[in-house]
Order: sequence, then C-alpha cells, then structure tokens
Amino acid sequence: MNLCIVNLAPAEYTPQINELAELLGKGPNNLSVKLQDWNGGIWYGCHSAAWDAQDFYDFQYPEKVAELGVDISEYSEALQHLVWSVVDPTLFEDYNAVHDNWLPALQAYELIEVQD
Amino acid sequence: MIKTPSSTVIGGAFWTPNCTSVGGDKAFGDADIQKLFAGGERGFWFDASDLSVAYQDIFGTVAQTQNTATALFLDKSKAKALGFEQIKNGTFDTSDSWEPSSSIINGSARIYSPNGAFDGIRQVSPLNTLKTYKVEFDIVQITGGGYIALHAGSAGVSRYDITSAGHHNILLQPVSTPLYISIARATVCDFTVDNISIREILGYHCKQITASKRPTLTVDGVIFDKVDDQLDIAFDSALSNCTIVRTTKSGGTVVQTGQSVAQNYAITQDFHQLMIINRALTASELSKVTAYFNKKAGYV
Repeated sequence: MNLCIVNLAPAEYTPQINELAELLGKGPNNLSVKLQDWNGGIWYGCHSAAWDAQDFYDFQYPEKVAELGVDISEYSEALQHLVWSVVDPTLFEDYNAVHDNWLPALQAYELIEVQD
Repeated sequence: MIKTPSSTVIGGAFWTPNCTSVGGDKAFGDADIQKLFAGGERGFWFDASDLSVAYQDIFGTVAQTQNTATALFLDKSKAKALGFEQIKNGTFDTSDSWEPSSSIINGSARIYSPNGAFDGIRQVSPLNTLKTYKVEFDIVQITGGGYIALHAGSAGVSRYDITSAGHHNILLQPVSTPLYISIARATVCDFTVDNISIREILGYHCKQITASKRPTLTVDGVIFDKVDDQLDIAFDSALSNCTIVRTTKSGGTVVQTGQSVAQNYAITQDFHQLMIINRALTASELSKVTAYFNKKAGYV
C-alpha cells in the first residue's frame, strides 16, 4: 500500500533534503513547490503518492544511506527541520491530495504557495 | 448480408467463408488509432486502460498495478514497435566495435576489478537523447555488481545497476551527449556479459524521474495530485496544428483543434485516454475516436 506524503522544509535545508532523497532513489528535486511562511521565510514542499511504508521509513531513518557509504550526520540538521504529513488514502472515500493533505499541511505550518 | 449457396446460418445470420463485410459495423480498435499516425504524424497516444504500457519505475522493470504511482508511460501510437538494432557485435563473437578489446574473451565480455579500480567496456553509439530504448543483455555470472549506461560516467535515468545474473530486459533514456554504451564498475567486481541488444521503442513516451511528481494510475485513469505531479515528454521540435483528444471517466472526451504543443511538454491533467496528433482529424475520424475513447474510459 502506498502512503500519500507531504514533505516541507525551509529553503536553506532543501538542497540537503533533495540530495538525500536522490540518494535513496527518489530522483532529483523532490521538494520543488515554493512556499512562504508568516515571517516571509521561503520553504519548499512536495506531495507524493509514490512512497510506500519502507520508503517513508528509509527517509526518516536513513540506514540505507549509511549502507551507501554516506555520512548520515551530514543530513541530521536538515532532517530535524523536515516536517511531514502522512495520509493513508484508503481511509478516504475519494482521496483528494490538495484538500485532504496538502492544504491542511500548509495551514498547520502557516505556509502559502508563492510563484517565482 | 447476402445468402449464397455456400453460406452457413449462424445465429439467424448468414456467414459466407472468405467474404468481405460491406457496410457492417467493423469494430474500431487500437489498430485504427494507430492508423491515424500511419502517415508519419508526430504525437502520442496514452491508454490508461492498458497496464502493459506503464511502469512504476523509470527502467520499466516494475510492472504497473492499480493505485500505484506511474514513472513511465509508453506511447501506443506506434504500437510499441522496435527500431533497428543499435549495438554492433552484441554477441561478442569477435572483439570488433568494443574497447578495450582485451575484455572480450571466449565470446563474452568480462568486467573484472580485483582492487576496485575502474574496469569496463564501451562502444560509440548513435543513440538519441529524446528516445527510449529497450535494452536486453545476459549476465552470465556476477560478483560485486556493475552497471550499464547509455552515457559513460553518468548517473540517473540512463544508468542501470546490475546486481544479478540472468537475462535483463530494461528501458533506458540517454540523458546527454556524447553518447557511449558502457558496461562497467568502479568498485571490486567480477562479472561477464553477453548478448547485448539495444533498440528504440518507437514513439514519444512520457516519464517522471522524480518520485514525488509521479501521478497515480487508478481504474479511473491517470490521476495528478494538482500539487506537483506531471509527466514529461520531449519532442524533437515543437508541434503545430495539433488535435488534442483527452478523455476522463467522469467528463468524457474533450477535443481541442489547431493547438500548438511545446517541444518539452508536461501533462498535468487527469486522463484515461490522451492523444496528440499534429494534424486535423476528419469529422468521421473524430467521431470514431471519441466513441472509442469514451467506451474505454467507461464514460456513458
């Protein structure tokens, strides 16, 4: 079963988060949607239905990265600033990514989408 | 129908062997969609009812299932036909075309690095960065793993890691030029490869290399999250005077005519059937396509 995950991180930690995701086989530039907090700070986020439970575990507890010979401590500070919202879409009659996960997550962290 | 002396009565109708039905309701099907492109038209047709053309991974090794994310979707407008063989001497009968030739031993290629130094073979390739290729090869034996890449030294979608012996059948897209086909390893390894074949899968296929941007394939079609999902297609140049046909289960078929399509095109809207062709369709063609796509999508 796939989980639907919203990942959010401040812009200064986004490069490291994206680098870690790529190391875990998720491809480049996962956090790509530009956001802004109440204080004008820039964040980046993503919504994905492509992550299963193991993927989620690997991203939060990246022993797999250590297996690749990468120093996990390089990412620990960035990971401390990564926030997420995980939803099991099967619990919804008709899961809507925007209304059931993305917008509630943005509201919880007082973020809005901004255009470049 | 015409009753002839050799006709057979079937269910109240007459069937004459070897006759041609004129004016009957010959079923419109996939082959008829593909005939629309028979004049060399550019474009694509994606059919979400056909799980055999979609994959959960970018290498085409994880079959698509319902309610999972889609990384790669093959264009059906060319019926997944294969192009010419791109590999020279893929069976390693001689040492021709490969470098270094010293790695070709007894009809196969051995990649051997006892100390972790780089070892590999390669040949210059005419592959196109816009195309998707079906890559097949046999790993006779393997210790330590290796990779096959369509651009030496690159990472990402054009490189596939090899970890097991046996026949491998994958899909690869070159990411940049100059292009080499290489089989190599930069850590301790020992493996033998044979029977390499690389052929283009004709058509314009869409893909998404970033996991969080992959849409979900469901019984209703390909569903985009409206946050960051998109499927990308690269044409060799922009298209003009296109007919765009998009069908959803809930809304049926919508046709747009005279459209321009950018060279780098991104799909972000839900679809069950999606076709772009760079010409106007006749009223008859549009009527048949609309009815066929609506039927496929379950739109009534």
